[in-house]
Formats: sequence, structure tokens, C-alpha cells
Amino acid sequence: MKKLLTFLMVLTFLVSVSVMTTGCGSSEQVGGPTVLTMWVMPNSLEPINDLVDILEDFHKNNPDIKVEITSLDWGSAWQRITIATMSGEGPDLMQLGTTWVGAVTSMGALYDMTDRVGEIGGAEHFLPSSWRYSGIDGTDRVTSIPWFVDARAMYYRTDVFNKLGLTKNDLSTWESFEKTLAKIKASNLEIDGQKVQPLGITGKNDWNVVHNLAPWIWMAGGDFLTEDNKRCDLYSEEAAEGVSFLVSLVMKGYVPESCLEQNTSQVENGFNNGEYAIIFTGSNELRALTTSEEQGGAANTYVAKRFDLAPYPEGPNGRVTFVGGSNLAIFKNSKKKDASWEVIKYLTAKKAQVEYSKRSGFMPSAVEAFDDPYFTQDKRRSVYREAVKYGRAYPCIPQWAQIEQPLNRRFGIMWEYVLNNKDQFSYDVIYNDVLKKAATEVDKVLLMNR
Amino acid sequence: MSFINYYQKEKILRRIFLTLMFLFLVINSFPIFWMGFCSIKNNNDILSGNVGFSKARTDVIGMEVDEDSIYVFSQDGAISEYDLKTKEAIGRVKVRGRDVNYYFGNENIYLVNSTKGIFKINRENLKIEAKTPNPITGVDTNRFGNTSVVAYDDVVIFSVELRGMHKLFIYDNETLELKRTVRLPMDSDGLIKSLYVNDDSLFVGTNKDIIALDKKTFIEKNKIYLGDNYYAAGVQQIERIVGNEMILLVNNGVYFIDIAAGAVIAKKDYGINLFEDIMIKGANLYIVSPLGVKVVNMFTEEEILNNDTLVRELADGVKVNLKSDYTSSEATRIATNGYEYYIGSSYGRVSFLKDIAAKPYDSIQLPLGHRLIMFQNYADLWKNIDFGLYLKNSLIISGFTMLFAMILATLASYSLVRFSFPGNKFFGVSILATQMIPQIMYLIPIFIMFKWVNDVTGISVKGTHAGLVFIYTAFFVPFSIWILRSFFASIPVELEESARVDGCNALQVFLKITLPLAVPGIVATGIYIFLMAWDELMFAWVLTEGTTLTIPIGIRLFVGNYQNRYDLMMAAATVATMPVLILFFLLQKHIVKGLTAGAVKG
Amino acid sequence: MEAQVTRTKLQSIKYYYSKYKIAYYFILPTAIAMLLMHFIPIVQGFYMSLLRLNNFTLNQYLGAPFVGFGNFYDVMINPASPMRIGIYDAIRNTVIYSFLVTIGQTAVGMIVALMMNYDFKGRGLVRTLFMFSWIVPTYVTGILWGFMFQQSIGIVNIILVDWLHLLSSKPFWLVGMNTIWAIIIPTIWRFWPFSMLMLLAGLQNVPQSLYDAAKIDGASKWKTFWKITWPMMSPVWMILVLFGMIYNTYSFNIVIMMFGNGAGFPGRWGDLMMTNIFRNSFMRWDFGAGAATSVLLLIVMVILVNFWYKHYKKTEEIF
Repeated sequence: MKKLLTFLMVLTFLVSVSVMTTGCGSSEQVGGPTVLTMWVMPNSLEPINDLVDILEDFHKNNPDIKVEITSLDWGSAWQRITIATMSGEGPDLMQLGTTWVGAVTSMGALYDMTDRVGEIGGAEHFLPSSWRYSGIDGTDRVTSIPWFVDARAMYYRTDVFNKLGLTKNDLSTWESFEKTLAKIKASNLEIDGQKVQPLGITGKNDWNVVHNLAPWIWMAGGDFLTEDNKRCDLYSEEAAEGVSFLVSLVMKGYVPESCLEQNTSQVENGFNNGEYAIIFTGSNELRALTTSEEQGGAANTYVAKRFDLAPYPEGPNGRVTFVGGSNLAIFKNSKKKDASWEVIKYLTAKKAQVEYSKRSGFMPSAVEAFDDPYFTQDKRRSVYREAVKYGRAYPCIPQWAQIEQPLNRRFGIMWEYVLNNKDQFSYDVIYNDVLKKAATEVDKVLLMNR
Repeated sequence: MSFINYYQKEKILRRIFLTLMFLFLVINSFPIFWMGFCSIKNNNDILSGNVGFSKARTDVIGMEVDEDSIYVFSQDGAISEYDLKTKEAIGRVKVRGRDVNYYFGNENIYLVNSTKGIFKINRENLKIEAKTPNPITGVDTNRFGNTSVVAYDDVVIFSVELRGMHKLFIYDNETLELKRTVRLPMDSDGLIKSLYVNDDSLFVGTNKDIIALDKKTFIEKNKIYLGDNYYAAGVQQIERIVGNEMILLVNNGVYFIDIAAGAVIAKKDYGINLFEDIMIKGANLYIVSPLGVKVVNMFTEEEILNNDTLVRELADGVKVNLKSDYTSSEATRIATNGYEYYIGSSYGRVSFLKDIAAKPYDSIQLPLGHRLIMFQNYADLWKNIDFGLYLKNSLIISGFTMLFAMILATLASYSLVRFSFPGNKFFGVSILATQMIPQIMYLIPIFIMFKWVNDVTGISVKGTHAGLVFIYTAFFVPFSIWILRSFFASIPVELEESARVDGCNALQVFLKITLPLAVPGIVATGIYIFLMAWDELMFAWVLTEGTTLTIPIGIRLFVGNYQNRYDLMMAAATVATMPVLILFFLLQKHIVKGLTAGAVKG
Repeated sequence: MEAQVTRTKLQSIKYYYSKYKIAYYFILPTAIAMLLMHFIPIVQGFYMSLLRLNNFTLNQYLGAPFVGFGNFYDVMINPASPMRIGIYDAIRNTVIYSFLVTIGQTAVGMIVALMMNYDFKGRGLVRTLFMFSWIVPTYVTGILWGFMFQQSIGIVNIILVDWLHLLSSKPFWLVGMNTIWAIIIPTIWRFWPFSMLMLLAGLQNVPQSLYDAAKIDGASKWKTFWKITWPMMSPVWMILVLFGMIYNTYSFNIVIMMFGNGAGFPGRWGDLMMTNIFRNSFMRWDFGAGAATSVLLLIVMVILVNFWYKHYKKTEEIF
């Protein structure tokens, strides 16, 4: 009786274990096409289907390779890549945000592709600002290949501008930009029952906290790190000038308070619904506004028929465009490196670059892709084409992802101040409080990881 | 006297008490109610802070003129017939839906939308005579685009703009039964935008080209590539000019093509940014854009009229609850009966003009649209992201955890209560002690252990259901043991002892005597375990992979970088609460008993 | 003589064992699970806190450089450490949060339990309906309240400002100092039914004779409550306090789901210890420091539980 019971228990246990383990996890097929696993983030509306479509030609030309794509959301991708590195078990190919490349490379997780880069045209094939992220600054080892570029520009409402007699030229410098905002605010426009606010920028609840401030800091002549990437350079008057310019726009009432609680996605939605006259965001917004609602875009809205693009207004230190994006990398423990390299070759060639740009809305990283009529013949896309020439990006060091944490926090706190202690806020607070503390905290991170 | 007062006082107090109780109940349940309420709202309502349900837009999408009446087709799926002289409403029929389109035949009107399919409506009395369900299922209804329908001879042809849908559906025009489907030769990212039929051929306008097909055999006769249309509108409208010349309306311009020669003759935009509708009358081309109406001579290119003040006239007194400075009420369609002109605009207004250059002399306003209550969301949430997979994974993992943890906890708890073996106290205390440890300390070490198991035995544990079940079981067993303790303690030892005397050994006593009596407690514990496992987030965040993701991770995909579907997220949250809610309802007595027994006995 | 003693000793061991054989079998699976999933990881976790384990040294795992108490120093004291950034905020928030939530859920539970104690029509139904908020999974709670607390379109502000006119302008809940309320309120909402049930059971165990005696003595309702009801239920609310303490200090789900879609930083007033550690471990890849913080948290918890236990023993003695 007892024996029977024990036997049954053990049996149930074994059966359930086997059911669970064999039900999941990929099984290797012996003999047959090489199966590559690829991790991507949601770069487009249907992340997996879009990439499968683009790889259709690749699969036709390489019948012995099959790419299996998994989509991770940005929130958990960071942890999964960490875990993959630690366990040694990961995908063959993965997409990495540009700011992560340094950290993941330093973990020794990526396959060194320096020798192979010649096959795709070397560094000249890519935009200089995105090639910077191919490996850690100061070394010439290439561990990731730029895939697409997230460039930012200014979106503005042509109907509002027409009504107020403004033109694109009024957005060309910081001074004229501010005057334009003042004019929009003074006119108290209400269109379709919707009050039009001059500017929409996000506050602390966003993943773009640092990215929003970066171009203004650069345009004012400041920078995050010193030339040698060893110390934080934020505690400077130039950086303070940049940050305070943006914050002053909020203080003067050009940005509604509710906007500061939102994230970029919500602000983009707000722009599509007519709430703001001007926003700064990436090229995926252009794609959204030119794609029909059925395909996930907003082309059927009132605003979609009345907007245009302009580059960032020029600051004291010139014109700058914030440039980020994603790269492709091969996992060091991958057993199918050659096949993975073929995929990278395919995805960085002009055709696939343009195709993916159409789906995702991001800009290509290959220079020759910009010669495609898709970019040259379209008035708005050519704004981005010009903008990437002034592209500027963060340094590529292993600690960058860690540096962003205290920066996110510090600037997040700054936005909270702006909301709650408006009267006490001033240039001095930015300079001596926010930036000084930010610089100290970043220095701590840099020193720790020496 | 005081006696009566006392009772009255009691009554009043009681009433106040009950009211307060009720009020509190309402406040406490409000968030759950709100969750359910928002789950059936339109996403735009949520994003714009609308507390109620907004009404469907009644933009005019078409007008057809009869001898003495005009049929107005609007975006909410309504067909309204008005007398041309008196401007009175004669008839009306409505099919609620999205992406509405129609074909105006001689006897019948075929009305289509993307969720319900085709409806055959009699032109005379506006009654629905037949309908056919939408042939396309299993797609998030927000992904559907324009529908198109044409009818000729004995067929009705239906198409829909949907990624990957390159088929035409051919129906019988009387019974609306599906006869066949025709696959079109299109690129993988091709989209069918519009259909048109004339004496010679059937034309399919896509986002890149126009294809001419034989009307009977549906074989491709000709195809003209229009260039990548970067504004994703594609061929919106096809009209014939004369002979083989046709004109195509493509969002930002018109193309003149010669279909026989298969070539584009010219592309013009006449200085207009956005085209809504075109109409051909003689040699003149009437173009409707948001700013007004422009008339040009197609051959001489002479501009006859540029009436861009029209939009102001239409805007005056538009019956919409908006206070506008500069309204977006735009002209959307134009029609004529030869003598006067009709301009349809957004928000359901049709204006009558004697002369195209004149101001409107009269107008009609369509009734307001229906309230947008989207029960559809509960169907869509499964198709938007792979929510079914997440639900399945959560059920599997929570279910198996419940099973294993129940078994382990029952055995261990019984043992702790009944047998005072050496190490009993130590075991009991260490069980409790584990509750004090922050769970995050376990993450990395457990993960490393999985890796080690993988290295040594080759069994892959990370990212499988089994791995997570093992972890959860180990975590939830201590609490379960603690709850079960009091249940077992409440079963009188005498029963067991008498069974012992009768000759049963310890195991038999456990199985035959104790277990049946402890079933309520075990059930209660099982439900707790399920609740806790259902709720767990931290380990699932880090240790699950693509196919084993659970609900807490998956539900975040509704609102993120690429979409802001709060309506689906609320619906998914409601669905995620359902299993535990059902379990609770079914077994609430046991749960309550379980909790309270534990508390009292301490 | 010697041999006899030894033999009886052997015999007694065998007797113990055979009598309790089944007991050991029963606890065996649990013991194995505990060993594998609790004991070994905890020991490893303790050891991890003594290492410099970050993204550079991750691959070496337990072979990473040994820094002894360096991590602990960095976390609490070292002003030059990035780990210390924000930790005092997290500590302060966690203390306030646990304290207020435990009191809140016990108080609300007590009040409702008292109300439930009176017999009225539909009592069972009302009690079931109250339990609803306990059923809702914590991550749904986080999402739902995060959605409701939005400044301009969230229903909370719409009710407070537009409908009831209790406030003049719409406050921010997810930004600024109000974040602490934004996390306290949903937690109380979700957990008070549990307290109510336990307290209700406890209430029903208070003998009616005591109440009668009090009434005869002419005691007011208020006094009755504080002098009789409350002390009689001390076992129950002592346990609630324990649960509250442990569970709320380690609270994670609600906060992470409420703010998870943004930068992941809940704000100076919304950050709790667990989200802090999670962020430092997984976003900054500083696992050694994360482990050290967890160990410190554990030590504090052990001390607190110790205090609680001593107090609990005292109340137990009364009964």
C-alpha cells in the first residue's frame, strides 16, 4: 500500500516535470537548417512580423539559415541580457541600445567583429555618430554594428503657425524659438475645442529624462564627461545655461504642468490630438503621423495633415541633434557566429536599411541608405537626413548605463522641484544644486568602476 | 416616554450606520468598478480624460443622388435619405461599425464595415435584406483599414485593407454567400485600398499601384506602378474620364493614366496639399480639400474656381458641442444632380449650393452617432499581444505550484503537529524564519543554481515552467504549513489513537482519518497558494523567457513605447482578476474559515 | 554492564527512529526544497554581499574579488559611493510606508469588523463584497491606481476637483511628495479585508459575558472597546502587526507596476527598499552592493521580529 502510494507520487511528479520541461525551451534539430535565435525590442508596431518580412529575401537567398525572432520589451530587456550573459545561455544575435553597448562589451559577452567589419564597408559605411557605438571609446575593437538611428527633431503645427503668421525661420535660434513660444502662448488659441499649448516636454516619469536635456546642454557648449571620459563635466556654466534654458521655458508657462507627469509616448499622443504646437521627438513619430490608424499610426487625425519638421534651434555653441539608436551584436557563446554575421551583413545593406526604416520609422545607420528617394524626395524626411549630419551622441564607455541612473534620478528630482517649488527655482539652484550633485554622483560611479 | 425615544434613537442610529456601511462599500468597490468601466471605453476617450462614452463621428463619407432624394452615407454606418425639395428625412438605416464603405447599385445598396461584413439594403425602403459575416476573424479590430465593395452582374466583391490580406472575396449578390476568393499578386507590404468597376474591367487600387482584372475570370490584365506612396493613403478613388483614360485620386495628388497603354500620363496636384474627393463633370474636375472646393479644366488646366472660403461657411453653426476658434469641420465629399451641388462635411452636415461659387442656401444635419461602448476590447486583447499565452502560463504555473505546495505542506504540517521528533522545534522555527528574508536575496543564487544544473545534467531549467514552479513551491510552503498547523491541531487526537488501537499504522491513520477531516483546511490553503503564485512578479520578471512569460510581464506591453492602449490594459487586468475571483467565490467559506482559524489559535 | 547500556542506547535510537520514521518521510520533500531553495541561496547571498560583484566580474560569480565589509560600508556610510545615493530616501519611505499601511489596514479592518459584528440583513453578502479588493492581484492594483492617479485625466482628480470641488486645482500624485500617498492608499485598499477577517474572528471570540458585565457597570461604548475588546484581541492584532511589518517592508509589486513604465524611478518619495535594491542590482549591475543592502535589511527585520516576539510572549502569558 505504502509502496504503491510512493510509486504513484513519484510517477506524478516525474510526469509533470517532464511535461513542463519538454513543453518549453527550444529543441535543437540535428541536420536541417541552422536555426538562429534573435532578440529584438519593439521597434515597430509588429516587431516580429516586420522583421520576418524584411528577412524574407535573406531566407530565400540563404535556405540553410533560419532566424527565429523573440521580442522583449525595453523594461525587462536589460535584465534578460544580464542574465543571458551570466548564464552563458543566450540568443545568437541581439539588439542592444547604443547606451548599453559599452556595458555589455565590458562583461565580455560579445563576439569581437573587428576583422570582419571590412566585409560591410568598414566604418565609412556608417554614420560617424552611430559608428562611435561600435565599440568602447578609445579602443578600436568592434563588438557591435549600428543598425538604426534614433534622431530627434522638432515637430510643429503648420496651422497654428499660419494663423499667427509664423514661419519655419522663427524656429532657427534659441531667441527666436522663445519668441515664437511666447507668441503662441499669448494668442490663447483654441482649435476644435482643444486649447493649444506652445510646447510639450516630459518630466521625470520618462525614459528620456536625460536624452531630453542632452541636446540643450550640448548646444550651450557643455558636456557630460570630460574629453578623456574620466570625470563628469556637468558642473559647468555652459551645461547650466543649457538646462536652465529648457527649464525656463517651463517656468514661463510655455509647457502645461500636466505634461511634466507624462512620458514621451503620451506627449506624442497629445501632439497627435492637437494639444501641443511644438514637441521634440524621434523619427518614429513621423512614421506614426504618416501611417493610417489601422496600421497603428495617426494619419487620420487633424494634426497629421498639418505639421512639419524642423531641426533643433541653434544655440550658443551651434546646432546639435541628439542621436541614439540600436546596434546588433553577436553573443560570444553563440555556436553559429558565421550565420549570424550573414544576417548582420544583410540587415546593414542599403535595401534592408531602407525597408526597416519604413516599418520602424527610425533612421538607417548606413550612409548610402539616405540616398534612397524615400529620404531625398520627401520634404520632411530630408530634415532628418540633414539633422543626422549634426548628430551627437553620448560617449561609449562601459559605465554609461550606470551613469544614467543617478542622472535620471537627479534630473527627475529637478523636475519635481520645478513642479512643486516654482518660486524658489532659479539658475542658481540648477547650477549649484542639481548639476553639482549630479556631477558628484556621476564621479562616484566612474571612480567605483575603475 | 423615554422607552419610545430609545427605540427611535436606535432606529435612526441603525439607519445612519447602514448608510455609512453602504457608502463605504461603494467607495471601496469603486476602483474595481472603474477598471471594468474603462475596459469597455474607446481608447481615445480614456486618453482625453472623457469620463463617459463619446459618440461616434458622423462624417459624411458619400452622397448619392436619386431623382428626388439624396442618400447620405456617414461614418457611423448610417444611410439617411432626404427629400431634395423639402430637405426632410425620408428614411434611415444604420449598421454600427468601423471603416464603413458602400456601393450604390441600381436596386440595392451594399453597405460594408470591417467588423460585421456586408449588408444588402434595398434602395427603395432601406430595409436590410441579407447580410454576410466578415470573413476575416482573429485580428485586433484596430488593425483593420478601409473596406471596399463593388457589385456587378451577379457578384459582390469585398476587400479590406489589412496587412498581409491580399485577397478579394467574391459573393453572390442575392444570397451573399461566399463563392470564391481571389489572391492578388502583391508585395508583402501591399495593402488593398479601393475597388472600382466599369464596363471593361475590375480595378484594384493599392498603396503602390493599380491593377486591372478581368471581370469574370479575375486574371490580371494590366498593372501600373505608381511609385511608393509615402503617405500611406494609396489609391483612394478611381474615376473614368473618357475612353481608356482614367483618373486616380491619391492622397496628395491626382494621376492621369492610360489603362490600355499601362502608363501614367501625368501627375498633378494643382497646388493643393490634401485631396478629399474629386468629381468629374464634363471637362471639369471638382476637387474637394479641407480648405474648400477647386474647379479646374482637366485639359486646359484653367482654374475656374478656387472657393476656399467655403470652409468658413460650412463651419458656421455646425451643431457640434465644440467651442471653436478655428474649426476642423472640413468638406469631405461633393456630389451633384446636374443643377445644384451638395457638399458633405465632417460632423454630419450636408450643404446645398445652387452654384459652386455661391454660399450654401440650405443644409441638413445628420442625427448624432451612437455611443462608443467597446465590448470588442475583450476580443481584441487576445489578438493585440499574445495574452492567451501569458494567461495559460500563469494558470499552469500557479496550478502546479498549488498542487505541489499543497502536498508538501500537508505532509510537513501534519508531521510537525503530530510527531514531536527531535528537530521538530528547529524545523518549525526555521520554516517561520524564512518568511523574514527579503526575496530579492534569492534571485541571483537561484539563477546560478539553475545554470549549474544545466551545466551538469544538461536539463534546461531556466525559462521553463518547472523552474518557476520549484521556486514558488519552496517559497509558499512555509506559509501554508503555518496555516495548516491549526487545522491539524483542531482534529482531535483521540480519533487517531482509536484508529491506531484498531491496528492501522501511522500512514493509514493519516490517509483514512486525518486527511478527510482536514480537507477544508487543505482546500483553503490551496487557494492561498494559488493567489500568491498568481500574484508573484519579481521572479517572473527575471526568470521567464519568451514562451513562459506570465501575465504581470505581458500586461505591460499594452502601454509602452509603441502603443498606449489603456482600454485593452484595463480589459486584460479584468481578465487577470477573473480566475482568482471565480476561485474565491466558489470557495469563500473555506477561505474565511482558514484565515480565521489560523488567527484565533495563534 | 557496558554492553548492556550500549545496547539499550542503540535500541532507543532505533526505537525513536522507527516510531517517527513516517514523520521524517513526511518532512523530507519539504526539507529538501528548503535546503535547495532557501538555505543554499541564502548562504550564497550572504557570501555575495562580501564580494565586489558587478558587470565586470559577473562571470566569475563566487570567485569575484573579496572585499569583506566594503559593500556594507559603501551602502551606508561612504559618501563617495553611488550605492548610497537615494538609500536614505528609500529607508525613510519604507519606514513611513510600513508604519502607515499597517496602522491603516488594521484601523480600517477594525472599524469595519465592528460594523460587521452587528447582525443585519445581507451581512454575508456585504462581507463578501468587501473582500473584492483583496482578490485583485497586486500588479493589477499598481496598474489600476497608477492609471487612476494621473494628474489631468485620472479619475481621482476628476472626482476631487471637478465633481466634489474638495480641492481647487488638480494635484500631482505620481510626481513629488504625494507619491508616498499614491503608494500607501492602494496598499491599504488591497490589504484591509484580510485584517477585517482576522479581527472579525477575534471579535467573535470575545465572550459576551464581558460585554454584559461592562454594560451593567454603565461603561460607554468607547470605553468598552478600549478596555475590553481591544485587549482581548491582542493575539490577533499582534499577528497583523507582524504580517504588516514583514510584508510591507518587502513590498515591491505595487510600486514597480505603478511607475514601471517610466524611467523606473518612482521619485524621492515613492522609492522603497525593495525597488531600490532591485534597481541597483539589475539596472546598475551592482549585485554585491544589492546583496549587502538585503543583508542589512534582513538584520533590521530580525531585530524587529525579536522585539515583537518578546512582546507577543508577554501578551500570550496573559491568556
